[in-house]
Amino acid sequence: MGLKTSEKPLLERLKDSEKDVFMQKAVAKAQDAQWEKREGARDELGNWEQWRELGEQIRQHTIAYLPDYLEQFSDNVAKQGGKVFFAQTAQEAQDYVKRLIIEKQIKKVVKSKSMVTTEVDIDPMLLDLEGVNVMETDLAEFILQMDDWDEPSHIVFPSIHKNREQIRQVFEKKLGYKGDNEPVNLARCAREVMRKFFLEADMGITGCNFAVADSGIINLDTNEGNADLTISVPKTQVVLMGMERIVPTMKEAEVLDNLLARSAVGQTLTTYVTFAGKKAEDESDGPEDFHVVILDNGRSNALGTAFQSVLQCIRCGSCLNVCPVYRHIGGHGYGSIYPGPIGAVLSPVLGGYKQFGELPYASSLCGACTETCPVKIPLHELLIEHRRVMTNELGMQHGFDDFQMKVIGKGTSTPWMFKSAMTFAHAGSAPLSKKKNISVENMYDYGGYIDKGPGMVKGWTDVRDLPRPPKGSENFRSWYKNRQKAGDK
Amino acid sequence: MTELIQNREDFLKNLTEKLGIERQPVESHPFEPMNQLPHETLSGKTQDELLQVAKERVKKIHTNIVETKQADLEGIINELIGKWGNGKVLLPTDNRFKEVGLNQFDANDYANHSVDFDRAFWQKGADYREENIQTASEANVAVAFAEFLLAESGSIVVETHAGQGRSLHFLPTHYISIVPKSKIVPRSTQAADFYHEKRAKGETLGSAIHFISGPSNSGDIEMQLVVGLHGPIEVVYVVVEDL
Ligand code: SF4
Repeated sequence: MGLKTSEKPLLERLKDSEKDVFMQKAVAKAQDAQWEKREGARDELGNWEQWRELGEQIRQHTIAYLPDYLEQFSDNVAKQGGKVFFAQTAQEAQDYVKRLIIEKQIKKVVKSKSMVTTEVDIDPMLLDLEGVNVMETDLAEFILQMDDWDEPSHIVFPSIHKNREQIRQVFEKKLGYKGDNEPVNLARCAREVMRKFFLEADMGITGCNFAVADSGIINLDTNEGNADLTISVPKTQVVLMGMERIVPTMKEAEVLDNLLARSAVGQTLTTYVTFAGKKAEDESDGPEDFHVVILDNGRSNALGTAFQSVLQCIRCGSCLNVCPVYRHIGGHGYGSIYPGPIGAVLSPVLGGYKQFGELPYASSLCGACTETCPVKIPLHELLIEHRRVMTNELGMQHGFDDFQMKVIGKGTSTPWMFKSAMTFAHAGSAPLSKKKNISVENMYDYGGYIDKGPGMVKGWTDVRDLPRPPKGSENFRSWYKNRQKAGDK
Repeated sequence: MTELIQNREDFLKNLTEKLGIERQPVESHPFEPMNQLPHETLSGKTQDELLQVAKERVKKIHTNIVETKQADLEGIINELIGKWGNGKVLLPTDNRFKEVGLNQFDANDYANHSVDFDRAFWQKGADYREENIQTASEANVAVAFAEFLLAESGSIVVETHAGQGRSLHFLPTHYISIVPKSKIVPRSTQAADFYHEKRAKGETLGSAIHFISGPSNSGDIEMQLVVGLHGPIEVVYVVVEDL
């Protein structure tokens, strides 16, 4: 699949998403549930703003000295007898893994969820290899695999677009499962199937939450325990990591593990926080053969530019969970494996404006993403910067003006993207004490939306700057028109 | 694939050019945190207060804390194993069992102490890879020591060594962690500091360090929490007050 997940033009994908009511409900449910957990976990920790500043500082520092830390990290992996391959492109990364599998005559590969493995298209390569079986071991990814490799729709909850009955049907068809659609029974079935495969696996492929430079080990944060089995049972382990996923020492990793767990799943820490590398001589399990593939694949385009901060991302998915546009169109609508606000900023950096230039327009620029980001990436400002670069520097103005018109509905098509962003409860209607019911729609009342920001390109994006959102019942277009007439920007 | 590090120079050269910097040794730019929040959070608490924090936390992660004195430790553990139906119990080869009086779990002495379950030990050395993994996958229960209990998150910390592999903590169906009360620390910060300093002193670390917060779980099906996925489906921490 690589970075791009669809050949359809954005408007067509958006129309598809608009029709998918189940998906929208599932995403809305996920967003609301996460909202409460995430904000609760952050409140409980206290001093959230200072924690964010610390998170930002760690990430900025590491990116500023990225070459030095990558050098130190790779030296330390090599000192333990591990191998490091620096891959400029996804293809190079894929080829390396392929060569390794062929050379070592690998038969069974277990994978634990990772965006990077999807980015480098490991799965189709593995499936093409004669005599090689592969299993996704994260429950959500396992479900997607069983459903003929359906694509993930969310960074943290890749299968939220499927309900329990759909999953039961898939298990029945593919695994001969005879039980009901209770999640616990479905999960036990998956456990049995995967456990058997684990014990026979000879290669494990994982992503990497953070690579620890001073010790040459990998830090993984998971809940299910699959990553821990992936780094324990198979004799060979391959870690695929984006080059920016690195920290100086375990101390900084620990801070980020905390920010990640609270932001991604509203937990204090994920159930498993693991630091591991190649097994030691006298130990009996863990990888004897340990490979780390460090991937650029367009990330370096961000260095030294206004987009450098996008590399601070710790993939918590929080910006997706607060995004009113994501709520409406779901992950697939973006057409990139990196959806939501972070995807709209990152995808054009990795894949270029030709492929992903529309994404910075698939945003209401409400600023909720920036506000929630645990490492303070100014996401909505970067979306505007993308637009600026495209319009001013690349002279792509015409096409995108057209696009903007179509999406906005100043012409003929529906302005639903707007509507979705603008149906908040009225600011005066929900007191702060009703914290429990916070959702993306009423977050304004919680102080969720920020009101500062750089000047916008003219048009519908001005909406972000408006002093307060319209009442849910108020027709947005008439309201907007009135504002325009009044000259109130 | 003979070279340990491949393609590094060109890769890093591109990065330095884009960043507009020269490569330097990392010692020249140590990271200085702008605040001390990780250390300030939950600081200044007594062991009793920390235990209280941990007890509150574990309620949320489907884990039980059982408190006991060293003298009653053996009875408590045997009772838990019995409740789970006995069967095969996997144990690390670990001198601490003897030190705390759990001779029934001491690899050199266990045969002299009869129990209602089958004991299997994690064998030392690379040759036992398959055997150890197999035993772990068949085990109904594993019992091991925690290096720390992190109060804030309710996590135990374990480190691999020759006598205690990685999968010992993940393949058995049930898991008992023995926690000396003196080893309760405020949060993950203290564990990270400990291993950071250990490394700085030049001591060898186990190749894997795990912070484990209760049983494995997943919310992947309609976001409904399922407890027990790949790892253990039930976890108990036994806190020993006088250790
Ligand atoms: S951009 Fe920020 S909020 Fe979004 S996934 Fe990355 S770290 Fe999380």
